[in-house]
Amino acid sequence: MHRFDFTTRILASLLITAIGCATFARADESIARDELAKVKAAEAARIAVIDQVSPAVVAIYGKQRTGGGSGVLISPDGLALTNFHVVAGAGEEGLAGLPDGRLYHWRLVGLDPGGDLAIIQLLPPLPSGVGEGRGEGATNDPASPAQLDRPHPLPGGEGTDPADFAFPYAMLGDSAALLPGDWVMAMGNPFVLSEDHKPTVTLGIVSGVERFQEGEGGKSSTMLVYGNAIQVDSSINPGNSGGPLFDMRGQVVGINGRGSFEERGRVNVGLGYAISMEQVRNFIPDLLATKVAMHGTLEATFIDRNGMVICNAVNLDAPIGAKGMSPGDRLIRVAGHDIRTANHFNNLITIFPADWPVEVVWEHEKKERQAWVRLTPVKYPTPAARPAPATQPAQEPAPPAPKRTSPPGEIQVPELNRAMARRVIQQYLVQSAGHVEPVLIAAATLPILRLEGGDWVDGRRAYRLYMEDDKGNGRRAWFSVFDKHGQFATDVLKVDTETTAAAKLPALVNGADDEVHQVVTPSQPAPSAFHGAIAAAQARTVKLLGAGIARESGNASGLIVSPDGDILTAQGVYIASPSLRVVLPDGSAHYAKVVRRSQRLQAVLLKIDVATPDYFDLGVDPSLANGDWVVAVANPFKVATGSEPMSANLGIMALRAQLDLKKKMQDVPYDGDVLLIDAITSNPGSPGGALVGIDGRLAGMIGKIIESKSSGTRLNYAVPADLLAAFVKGTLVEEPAATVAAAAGAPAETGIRIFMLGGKRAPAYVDHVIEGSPAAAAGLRKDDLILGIDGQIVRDIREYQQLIAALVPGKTINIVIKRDRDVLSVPLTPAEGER
Amino acid sequence: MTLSSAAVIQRHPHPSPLPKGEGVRVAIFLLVALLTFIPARAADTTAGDRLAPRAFRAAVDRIAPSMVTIDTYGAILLGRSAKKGGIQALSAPGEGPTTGLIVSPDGHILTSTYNFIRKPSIITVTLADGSQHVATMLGKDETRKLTLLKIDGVKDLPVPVMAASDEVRVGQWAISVGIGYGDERPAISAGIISGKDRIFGRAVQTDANTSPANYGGPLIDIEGRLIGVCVPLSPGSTAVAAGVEWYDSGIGFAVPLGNSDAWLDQLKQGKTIQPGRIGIVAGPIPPAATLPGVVGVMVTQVKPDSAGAKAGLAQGDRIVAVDGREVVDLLALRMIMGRYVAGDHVKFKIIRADQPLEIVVQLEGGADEMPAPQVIPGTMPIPLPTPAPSPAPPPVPNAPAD
Repeated sequence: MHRFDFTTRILASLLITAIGCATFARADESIARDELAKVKAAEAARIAVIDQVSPAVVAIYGKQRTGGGSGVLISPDGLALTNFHVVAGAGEEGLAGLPDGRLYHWRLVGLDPGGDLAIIQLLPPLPSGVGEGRGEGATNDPASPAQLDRPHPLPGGEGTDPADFAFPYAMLGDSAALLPGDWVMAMGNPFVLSEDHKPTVTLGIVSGVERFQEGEGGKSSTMLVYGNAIQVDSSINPGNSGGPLFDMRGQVVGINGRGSFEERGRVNVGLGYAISMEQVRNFIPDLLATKVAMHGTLEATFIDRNGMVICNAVNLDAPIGAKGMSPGDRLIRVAGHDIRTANHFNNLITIFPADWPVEVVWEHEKKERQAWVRLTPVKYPTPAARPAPATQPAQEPAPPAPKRTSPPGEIQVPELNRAMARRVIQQYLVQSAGHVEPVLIAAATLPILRLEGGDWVDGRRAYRLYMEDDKGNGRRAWFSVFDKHGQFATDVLKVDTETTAAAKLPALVNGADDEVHQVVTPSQPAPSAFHGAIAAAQARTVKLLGAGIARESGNASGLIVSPDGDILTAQGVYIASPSLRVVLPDGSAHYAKVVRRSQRLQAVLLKIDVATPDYFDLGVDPSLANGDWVVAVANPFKVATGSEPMSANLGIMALRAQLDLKKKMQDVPYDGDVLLIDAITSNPGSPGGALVGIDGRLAGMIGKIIESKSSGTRLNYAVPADLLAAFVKGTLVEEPAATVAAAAGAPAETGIRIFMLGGKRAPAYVDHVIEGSPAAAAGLRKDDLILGIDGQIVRDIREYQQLIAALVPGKTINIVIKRDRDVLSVPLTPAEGER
Repeated sequence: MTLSSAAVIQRHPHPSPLPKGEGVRVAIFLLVALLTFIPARAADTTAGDRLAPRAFRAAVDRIAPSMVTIDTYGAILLGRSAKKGGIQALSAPGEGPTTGLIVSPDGHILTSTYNFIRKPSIITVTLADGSQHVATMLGKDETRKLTLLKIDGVKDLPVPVMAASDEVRVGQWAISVGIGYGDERPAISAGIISGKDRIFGRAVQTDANTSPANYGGPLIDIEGRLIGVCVPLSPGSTAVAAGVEWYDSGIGFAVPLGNSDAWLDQLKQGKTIQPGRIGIVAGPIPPAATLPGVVGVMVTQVKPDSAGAKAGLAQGDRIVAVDGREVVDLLALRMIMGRYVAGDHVKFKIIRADQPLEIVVQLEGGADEMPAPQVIPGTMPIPLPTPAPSPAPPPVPNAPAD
C-alpha cells in the first residue's frame, strides 16, 4: 500500500494537480444559508447561556493560592457549593476568584465527606478603608467565628457596602430529568488555567445516569462515595473539582468531582462524574447547619434474585427492622422510587442524609407493607473533622492548628450556625412580606437559636430550626429550603405550637402522610439529537466478562450482530477465559464460545445460546463522512453492571484512514482502514463497543487499545462496519494484498551511491552516480537529496535502504529528489544487479 | 527524460463512492431510520445539532487551501526508528507529515515547533495544489511554540480569513484541522472555545482535540475563519513538548494571529522570541512581616549576574506592583511576568526598608522558575483532585530506540 504516488509525466502531474486541488479544497460540501443559520442559532443560544451563568462560577484557592479547585455560587449572599476534597485541601478559609476579575475571601460553612460535598461562603469585598483597620469590622457578621484576618485589601474592593453586596448566583436544576445524550457543560478551573478567574467551559453529553463509583479505599468505604452520579463526557480534569455541571438551560444539574483517572495519569479520558443535584439538595440544610454531614442507611442489604430485589440482611434493631422487614422480603419502593436492582437501591440511598425520613414499601410473606423510617447514620472510619484553619507558608511552620472536635453529624461551629439560622429567618421575613409567623419576628434575637439540619415536611425539604428564650422555653420551626421551582428560597412550613425544652429529635414529622411527593416537578427531558441513537445502540451492545491478565483488562464490550446470539467483539485476553460471559442489555448473563477470529481486524465472533431479537444489521454501511456525529456506546472501566445501560460518548468522525503500519510497528496489531474519531474510546472495557451514527446505525466497532510506546498517546478509532460485515459473513480476505514483496530474483541496481558518513539517520544524499547506470540515465547527480521512492517517503538512509532493497529490476519507479531549492520527480528503471 | 518542476503528491486514493442503487437503498433506510428515531417534537430544536456536521465540513473546506503538509527529512535529535506510514499520533514525536498554515501570499508558513522537535535537516512543504517545496526555517517563538517557515518561488498563496479575536466567544464551535494521519485529507475534531486569554494571554483554549496530529494546523470557527494555530502549551513549562499530555483530554490551545504583526515580523527576521527571566526567587511575605494594607511577594534570592541583579533588586525586597499591575501574591506575579518576553523593560514597584522604590529590569532569556499553582490536593487519593499542570511526562524526544 503506497502512502502516496508520484506521477511520471508533466501532463499526468498537471492533471492530478488539478484533481488533487479540486478534491482537497472540496467544493462538494455546501450548506445553505438558512441551514447554517440554524447551526449558528443553536451556537448563539449556548453562548448566551454561558454568558448568563459563568459569573457564578468560582475559582477556589487556599489562602496562599498555591492550589485551586472550583465551585458555584447558589445565593446572593455568597453561599457556594464545592467538593469536600477541595476544602479539605484548601483549609477552613481561603481566596476565591470570580469572573468579574476580583478576589474574595471565603470561609467554610459545612461539609459532607461521605458525598464529597461542601458549602463555603464568599464574603463581600471590603468597603474602602476597612482593610487598613486591622480586621476590625472585617466580617459583615459580628457573630462570625471565622475571625478572618485580612492583611490587605483585595483588588477591586473599594466603595462597596458589604450589606448591599449581591453575588451573582446560579439556578439549581433537576438532575432526575437527565437522559444519556443530553448536552451538558462543565465549568471550572482545570489545571488552574484561568488567569482572570473566568471559567473553562467544556461541552459534552450525559454518558450515563445513576452511576455508582465506590468511595476512597474500596467497596466498604464511606468516604467520597459517588452514588447516583451523573457520568459525562464533557472534559473534566483536576481543578474542575467542585465546579458546576450545567444543562443547556443554564441550571446546575450536578457538582463535578471525579473522573476515571486510573489509566493515563490525571487527565480526562472521557468519563467524568458529577454529584447529582438531587443529592446535593438533600444535604444543603445539614451543610448550612455547619455539620460534618453524615449519610443515611437503612441498615439492610439487598441482592438481585430472579429479577427481584431481595433483602439478604437486616439489622433488626434498626428502624426498618423494628417495622418488620426480614431477610427474604422483596423491596418494592423507596422514597417514591420503584427499585429496579440492588445497585439501584444502593445508588438511591446515597442521596439521603442520616435522620432523613424515608418511605419504604416492601413485600413480606406476600403482603405489601409500608413504613416511614428515619435513616441511621453511616459511620466514618476516622472522626471526620473540619480541615485545620489557615495553613502557614512552608518556610515558617506554624504550630499545628487545633482541629474542631465535634463529632460528625453535630453542629461544628455554633457561632456560624447561629449566623446561618438568622440568615434563614431573615430570608423568610423578606420573602413572606406581610404574612409572618409572629413568633419568628423576634427569633433572631433569642439567646439560643440554631439550625438542626435537614428534614422533610409535607413532601418538602426543610431546615429544622430550634429556638429558646431566656426562660428555657424551646420551640421548633421548619422552613422550606427550596421554592416550588426548586430554587434556593425560604418559606415557613411549620412552627411548633407547643413549647418544649427538650432538644431531642422529634418523632417523624411525616408519619403516614400520603401526600409525600417531590415538589420539584421533573422537567421535560430536553430534546437531544442523540437520544434515539444512544438508546438504539444500548439495546444492541453487550458487556463481556472474562478474566484479565496483569494490566490487560478482563472485560470488554460486544455487538449483537444477528437474531441468533452472534456477538462481535475485539481481540483481547478475556477471549481466552474459559468462563467468558456475555451480559445482555436485560442483565442476563450467558456463556459464550468463540466461533471465528480475524487476525486482520483483531476481531472475534462469539456465539451465545439465546435469541437476540434486537441486533445491529451489518448489511447497510452508513457511509459516514468526516465531521458526522458519532456516538460510542461501550462499557469503559466497567462503570455499568448488570442491566445498567452502557456509557455513551459523543464525537465526530475525524477521518477514515488506512493505518498502513507495516509489520514493524509493533504496538499496532491492526491492518486496514479505521474510523478515527474525536471521542475518547481508548479505555479498558471499551473495545468491542459500538460506534453509531446519529441515526443509530452501526458505523464500526471500537478496536483494542493502541498505545504508542514512544509517546504514550493512544488512538481513538473503530473498525469500519463494512469490514466487520465481511468477517461475519466469512468473506473477509485475511491477508491484504502483499505489501512489499522481497525481490525474488536478482537484486535491482540503480547506480545510486549514497553518502554514508552521516550515519543511518542522516538524509539520503547522493554521493555519486555510477556511469552508465539507470540513475545516470535518469539524470541524477551528486548532492541530490532523495526525498521519496515510488510513493514512499524517505526520511533518512535507513528508510532509503529498505526501499531500495525491495526494488525489482526492469520495473520503473519514480524517485523524488531535492536539488538545490527544487523538488523534482524522476522516473528510473533499475537494472539487474549482482548478487 | 523529463524532470517535472514540482513533484505532485497524492496521498491516499479516495474510497470509491457508493454504487448507484446502493445509494438509493441507503437513502431509503436512512429515511426509515430517521422516522424511527427522531421524536417529531424534537426535530426543530435539534436541527442546529443535526446540521452541524455539514457546517463543520463546509468550514474545513474553506480553510483547506491555506493548509500545507510538512515533511521532514533526516533528524539530528533521534532516538528511535523512523516509521514509514506511521500515523503521527503514534509515531515518534515530530515525525511527519504534519500541518502548517500559510500566513503570507509569498510563502510564509506558520507551524508548531513541536513538528521539528527532532531537528530535521530538510523540511519540505506541500501545498494544497500538490506541489512540494523546500522550506527555509526562519524564526521561532518559544512562548507560543511556533516556528515560521518560508518557501520561495510562490505568489498569491491563499491566506486564511481571520476571525477577529474580540469577536471570538466562549462556547462557540471550534474545529481543529490537521494533516497528520498519513492521509491526504485532514482529520478534524469539533469542540467549543473553552476560554480566552489563556497561557499569559497568548492562547485561546478549546475542548476540540489538539494533538500531534494537528499541531501547526488551524482552529477554525463554524464559518471556516481562523481562530488560531494549534500548539501544545502548558502554563507550567515552555518545553517544546509540554502540553502534549492533554492531547485528547479536552484541554487544547491555539494561538490567535490577531495583533500578531509585531511578533510575526520578528520571526520573519529570523529572531527567536524567548520567555523573560528576572533571575530571582520569590516567596510569600512571612506572616511576621505582614503589615495591613500591604500586598506583594518577598524576594528571597537574587541570582548573581541575572537581570534582576543587574537592575539592583535585592534579597528582602517586597515586590508590590509590576508596570502598574498590583502583585497580590506569587500566583499574581507569575501570571503578570508570563506576559513579558526577553528584552522587555519592566518597571517593578518594590518596598525596601519600608520605603517605596522603582526599579526597571530588562528581562533576559529563559523563564523564571516560579511555582505553578497546583490543583488543590485532596487529602484523598481518589477523586478529581490534584496535581496541576505537571509539566507532563511528555513524549520524550530522546526515548530509547525500541
